[in-house]
Amino acid sequence: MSESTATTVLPAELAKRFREGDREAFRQLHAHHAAGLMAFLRVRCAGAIDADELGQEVWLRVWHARHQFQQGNFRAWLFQIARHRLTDEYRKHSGKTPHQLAEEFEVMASPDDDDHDSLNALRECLQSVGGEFVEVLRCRLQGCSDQAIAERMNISISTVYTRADRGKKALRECIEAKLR
Amino acid sequence: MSSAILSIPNDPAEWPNWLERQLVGPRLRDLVRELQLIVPEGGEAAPTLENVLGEQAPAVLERGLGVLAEQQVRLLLQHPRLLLDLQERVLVAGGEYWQTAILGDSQDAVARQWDAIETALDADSHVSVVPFQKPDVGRRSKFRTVVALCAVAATLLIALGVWTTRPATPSWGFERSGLLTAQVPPDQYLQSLADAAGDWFNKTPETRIDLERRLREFRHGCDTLIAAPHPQLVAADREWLVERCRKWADKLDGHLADLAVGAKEFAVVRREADETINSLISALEERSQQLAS
Repeated sequence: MSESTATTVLPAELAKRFREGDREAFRQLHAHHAAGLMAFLRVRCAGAIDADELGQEVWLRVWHARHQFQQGNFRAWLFQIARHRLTDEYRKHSGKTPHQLAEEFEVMASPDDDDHDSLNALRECLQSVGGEFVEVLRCRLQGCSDQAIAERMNISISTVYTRADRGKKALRECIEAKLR
Repeated sequence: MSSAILSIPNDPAEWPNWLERQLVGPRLRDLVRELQLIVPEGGEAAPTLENVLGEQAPAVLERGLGVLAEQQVRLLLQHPRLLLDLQERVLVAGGEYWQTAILGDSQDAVARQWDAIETALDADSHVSVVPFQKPDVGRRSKFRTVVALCAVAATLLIALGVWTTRPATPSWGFERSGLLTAQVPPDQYLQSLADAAGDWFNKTPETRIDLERRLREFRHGCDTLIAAPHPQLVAADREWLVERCRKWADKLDGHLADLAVGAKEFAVVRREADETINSLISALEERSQQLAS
């Protein structure tokens, strides 16, 4: 077992106290693992599914199911419960079973999202003013050096930087104007 | 709110640090969507996270993205859905390096959540832990009896409600339609559960995702079994079944955890899952035969 996995294993004493219903042991577990679970749920919840409410519910479920936890990987168990709850919520709100990430992502990108507008704004601005920024970024993502980008665009390296920064600024202003 | 993609550094050498902050920060979803607009994935098969991380996977969990070559970071950004897989991986199995990064700005939110949880737990305990008082007069005693009966009735209704309003699930294994409500003798009931568990072998998962899905579905069936009233069985057999179900569920959770943290090869987890379900079927059949004899 790698060290990183070992750190997820609960000390026997803490596990025992948790199983026996020791609230302080539960608080310690929450303090250690809640932020990670929040990050997980916030990425995967949108629209009608509230990540913070769901997170709280998951922790309550963990407490009520504590007798089922055996000495072992608490974090994996916690996330397993969270995934079950998330799947139930997806089913309830979309009628889908998001076992595959593609489906999961489709749910996340539903038009009911609060941030659907900002994605639309970005899409429109990329078409209208994002050309230079996108061209440079795409090239960098493909592994081009700035020298190669300069040669491809037939400009100097300093102009590559200038155009990328100018494109980024124009994109930011365009998005802000659309969302205002 | 500005776009997440605009925060990407010009210098690719800074991408690992920047990407780590995105993975544990609140805007990963924005970043993934925006990257998909910038670099739409082509028709060719996308690499898996295992493909991209390769032998560096344990080091990433231990020491962060700084251990990756520039090309590996680039691949993650070119296939943004992998960022969601990577996030889950580091959240579930990341070492102290990641845990420290995760805790960063969320202390207040964690404290607020704990307050809310404590309030909910206190409310729970006030409902279930009612101080005992000796009855002093007949009328109050009768009143308490009525209250107690109402409480029992309400508990039964809630339990029935919880059981009957469970979400729609695949109709195989313990979720087979009519399986748990069939009016059959106890031995036949247990045999039918063993047969239903055998549905596991109707499909052989060929990928990690398929195996995880199938395990989760089977695991969900175990929850259903634990929550079901099993009117076909006498109390002792019901207790035996629920107790066994919990052990099987724990084992299945172990297989799912092995998959989630990548602790074992896919083929090993699949073989172990097969063994778990085989032993589960054997236990049900043995008990069924005992009841029949």
